Amino acid sequence: MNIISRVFLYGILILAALYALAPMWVMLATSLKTLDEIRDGSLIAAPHAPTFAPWLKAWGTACSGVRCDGLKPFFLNSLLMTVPSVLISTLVGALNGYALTHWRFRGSDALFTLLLVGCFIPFQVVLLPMARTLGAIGLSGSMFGLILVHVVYGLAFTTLFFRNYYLGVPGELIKAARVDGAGFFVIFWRILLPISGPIFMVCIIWQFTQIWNDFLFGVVFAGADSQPITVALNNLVRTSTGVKEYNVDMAAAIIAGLPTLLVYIVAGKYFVRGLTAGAVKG
Amino acid sequence: MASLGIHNIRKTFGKNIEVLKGINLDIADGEFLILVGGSGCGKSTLLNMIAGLETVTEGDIVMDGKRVNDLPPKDRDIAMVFQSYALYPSMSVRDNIAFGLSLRKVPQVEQNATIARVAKLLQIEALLDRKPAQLSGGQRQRVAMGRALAREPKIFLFDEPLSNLDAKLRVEMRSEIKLLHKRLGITTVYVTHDQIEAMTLGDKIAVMKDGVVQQFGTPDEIYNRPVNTFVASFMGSPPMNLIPVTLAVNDGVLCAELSVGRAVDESTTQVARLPLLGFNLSDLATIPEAGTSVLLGLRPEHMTDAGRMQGRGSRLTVPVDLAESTGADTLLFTTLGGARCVCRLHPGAALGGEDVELAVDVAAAVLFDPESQQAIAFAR
Repeated sequence: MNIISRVFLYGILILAALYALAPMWVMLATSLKTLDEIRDGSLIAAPHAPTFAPWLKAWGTACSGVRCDGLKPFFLNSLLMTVPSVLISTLVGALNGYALTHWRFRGSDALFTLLLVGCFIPFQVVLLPMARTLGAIGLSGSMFGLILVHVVYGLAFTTLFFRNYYLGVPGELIKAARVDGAGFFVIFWRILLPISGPIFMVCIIWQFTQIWNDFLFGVVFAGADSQPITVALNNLVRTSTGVKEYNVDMAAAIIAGLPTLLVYIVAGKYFVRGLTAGAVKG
Repeated sequence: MASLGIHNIRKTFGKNIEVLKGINLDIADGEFLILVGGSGCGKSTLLNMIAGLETVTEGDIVMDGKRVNDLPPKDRDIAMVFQSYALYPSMSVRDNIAFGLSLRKVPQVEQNATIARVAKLLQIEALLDRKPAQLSGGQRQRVAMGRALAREPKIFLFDEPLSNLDAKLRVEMRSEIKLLHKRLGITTVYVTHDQIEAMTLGDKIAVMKDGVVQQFGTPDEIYNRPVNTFVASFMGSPPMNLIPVTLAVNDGVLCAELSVGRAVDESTTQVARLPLLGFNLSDLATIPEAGTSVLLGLRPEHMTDAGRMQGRGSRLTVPVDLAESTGADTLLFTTLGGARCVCRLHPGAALGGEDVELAVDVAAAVLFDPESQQAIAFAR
């Protein structure tokens, strides 16, 4: 490749990277500026005297609605909601995938097709029936109800992931374990789980992102005490007393997005590895 | 150790896909049974049913006189070696071997002793702490056998265990399996599509096709007295020649009349008469009358160059279509009765390309009905 085309190529790549990173930069820069500087300066300029005051306010004292204790309690809510939801939906999805591939039963293909349809149902469609169901079993407005909703909605995806992954596990492995005397759960626990690392990563990242970022289920099904951070962020941004505090809003938005960012940075390489693991026979 | 009986076994998948159509096999304690056949003949399905991994649609599987149809695999006291070895990828070789033992709550001391014994027997002591991914094909094969041996099962099941190995290793492991069986004397059922494995390993062979056992017998019976053309051409390499001939009686001796040479070239095709000395005319009840068209089955080694046979066998001069030297002998391809025909000659013979005088050992011949493809008379 000659110099010109190389420069052209890198030029385009750098432009694309800048385009993608620009909003991130604006958010970060704005969150570190004082309100005065925001009003005077340009949008993309670096802060003259970086201040963490907006971050502290967003975390601890900013008002969303009538409460003025920042994002902290809602961040905790989100953690309490996301962690169990992710773990339960991933584990049950793994069991589903295992049963659907290696313990075929009459109608298992039909069941899988139905589950697959679950991936394509828009959130809005299930809102009303889900609300009725939660009401009927006495879980409306509670954290448990919210977790249940996320588990149920996530199962379609996690089952699909694990099924496709376990399709690559040879049936003879399961047969050998059965001859050795292992049953359904022993095989799952001792044979399949130890080789499921990559797909677990995929599932956890996927589910964590989905559930942490979810707004609709949170705003509809959460009670006042169990609202996730996405709902709180929305309230915080829309609550203003006189002046619009862009720096606090930006800091709050970054705080809300930080955990998913962190998950990607820590486990991102497993994500790519896991996505391709099923495709290549190894 | 156990005897194994398979009585009227049928297997249907779905509504009407019948893969096994009434199988009957009985082997005594300590015998080595081979299930051999092409792909889709139902041999692996039958093995899985013996293992308890497939349900039985109809019939009985009997071990040591006890019906085991409804027993799960773990209660049948069997061990199985798979084509892909099926080693547990996350476990070390040691744990692979011990897995079945630990599930059966065998005490740790006893487990260690078993692992040591099996590892010594199969010479895998140095590999015990490795993972399956770090092993070569042959080593994986040994570990898979070790895992099966550790349990000291009543019956050993092998599902094409050698077909993933390269040719040299396959021959090596074949004799090792044979030696192991000789030493331990465990009843074994072995599925293969390789007729050489079948011939060399088996005490009994069941040749299967389309879910039906074509013939069940000792390797010698299967090889020398095949009951139909399928068995005749499946067993043996190169397979038995099936030559279309017409029967005739000449001077009180049964003869086969056949055309010699390629049919496309009719000017050079001539009719030869081959006396079938092994067949007794007084035994006419079993031999079709003169003028009937039959298939004359002859193994390649029973059609060899006359020079070295010192007057034995009936003579037949044939043109050479092709001669291949394999080193140990020369394979001569010619056309008899319009069919491609292979003869096993001594090394160096027939490589010149001129017509060859064959000595045909008709005493080893088999006659088949061209319609039903069944054997109608054996010379011996």
